[in-house]
Amino acid sequence: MLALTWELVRDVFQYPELLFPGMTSIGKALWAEKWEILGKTVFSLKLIATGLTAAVILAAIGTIAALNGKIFSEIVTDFMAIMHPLPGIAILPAAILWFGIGIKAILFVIIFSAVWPLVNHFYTGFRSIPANQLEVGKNLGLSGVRLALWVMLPASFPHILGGLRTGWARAWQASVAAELVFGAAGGDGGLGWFLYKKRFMMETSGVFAGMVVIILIGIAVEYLIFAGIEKRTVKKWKTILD
Amino acid sequence: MSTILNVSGITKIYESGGKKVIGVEKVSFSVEEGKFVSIIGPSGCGKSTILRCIAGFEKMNCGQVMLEGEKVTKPGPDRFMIFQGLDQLFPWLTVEENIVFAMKSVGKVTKGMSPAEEAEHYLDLVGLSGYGGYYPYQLSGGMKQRASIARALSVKPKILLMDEPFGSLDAFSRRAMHHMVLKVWEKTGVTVIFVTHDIEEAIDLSDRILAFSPARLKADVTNPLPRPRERSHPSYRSFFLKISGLLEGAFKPDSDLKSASAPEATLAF
Repeated sequence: MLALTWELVRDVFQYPELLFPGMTSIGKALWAEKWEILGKTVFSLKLIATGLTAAVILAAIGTIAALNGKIFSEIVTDFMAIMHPLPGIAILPAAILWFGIGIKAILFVIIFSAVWPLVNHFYTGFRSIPANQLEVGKNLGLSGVRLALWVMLPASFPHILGGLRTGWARAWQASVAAELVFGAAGGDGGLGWFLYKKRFMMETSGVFAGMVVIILIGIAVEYLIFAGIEKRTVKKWKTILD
Repeated sequence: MSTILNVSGITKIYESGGKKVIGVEKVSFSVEEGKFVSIIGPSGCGKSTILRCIAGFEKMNCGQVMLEGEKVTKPGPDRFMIFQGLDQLFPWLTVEENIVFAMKSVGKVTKGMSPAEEAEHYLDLVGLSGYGGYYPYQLSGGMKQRASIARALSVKPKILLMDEPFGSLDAFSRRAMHHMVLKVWEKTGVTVIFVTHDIEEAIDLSDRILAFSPARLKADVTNPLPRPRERSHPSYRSFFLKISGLLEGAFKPDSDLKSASAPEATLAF
């Protein structure tokens, strides 16, 4: 449907191939560049996996601190209020000054973009655990780590999953954007860098090929990973509405 | 009959927004092993607070709770609470997994019996045989409460603390639950402390009724009626009137309006 509209718009307005490449040339570019695209994809995904893992750990520490002390709670909520509206990419210039052009700066942007929505969801999730379930856990003699892992974590799982979803989306956007803006990755890079390079060399069909891959990865992560986890957990338990 | 629980002089004051609200004040009583005791009173009179102090969920301002001679300092499986809310089962576990999780958490898995078999035994006791594989959302309100009671029994508590457990159910389900609770109580011999604001429920179930006026224990009455309790029995009516009289006396509408600890009390009667 989308492809058809695409071709129709091209025909009607007679856009030049250089600006508006046809589906076939995008397909050809995709095929011709398949190894490079694959390499860039792996690079991007590795970077995001690293950044997201770090962001989850930081968010977990922040949330635990916020839940355990009034001062921490205020610090975390204040930081969240200030930092949450700041688009991750806006921190890139500062990151480049601090870490130089390269992977470190991009990683920083990814972590920064993902950590605030993660903290926000985790914090909300832990605070909205039904009091009865928490007290049943305590009644069973659970406390500390056992209570957190066996009761609090599954009880707040709908929010945790929501946080991971947003975190992933933010991290993915940030990684592509960061590489794109300044070609920040340097010589070696991911999909954002691929787009940057293709644009630089006026290989428009390559640019669109890169975009297709970015969309496909977004869809794949949503349907293969998040929808799968959701089906096996919160949808099965009916702790979120369909 | 030995005393299993001793509540002596407990006072609990809540602070909210700089105001001090008395939950309970200088309440003392003891409970003998194996008895079914009801705590009755209108909303806001502190009856749930008492239960929560016994459970160890609340820090008391003064007084103490002794279970078999030992001071209660924190929650523990020897005093298991059943709440009114229908959300006390863990929704991410099936009914059977809820029970097995509870048994494993407290380390009370009977030898020579698989945890699943033992879970089924408790489900059978509460009339929920065969429902082990269901998730909580698949159960009706009454079934959820039955499953919660099965889970509580599986950790072999000394006392079952029931905080208006059937308050969210309709009248028909409640009658069925009363039969079930009495059967469970007779079969297991567990001591029960049952909080309710329903006088008939208290009379139908308990050996003894503790009537609360705001924050204080007003009267401690032994139920003289033979079991099973028949509502058509001539002395049922007079005992009902006696209990309701005690509560009416404690709750003149005018005095309730001034009572900070019972803001909703006037609505209860």
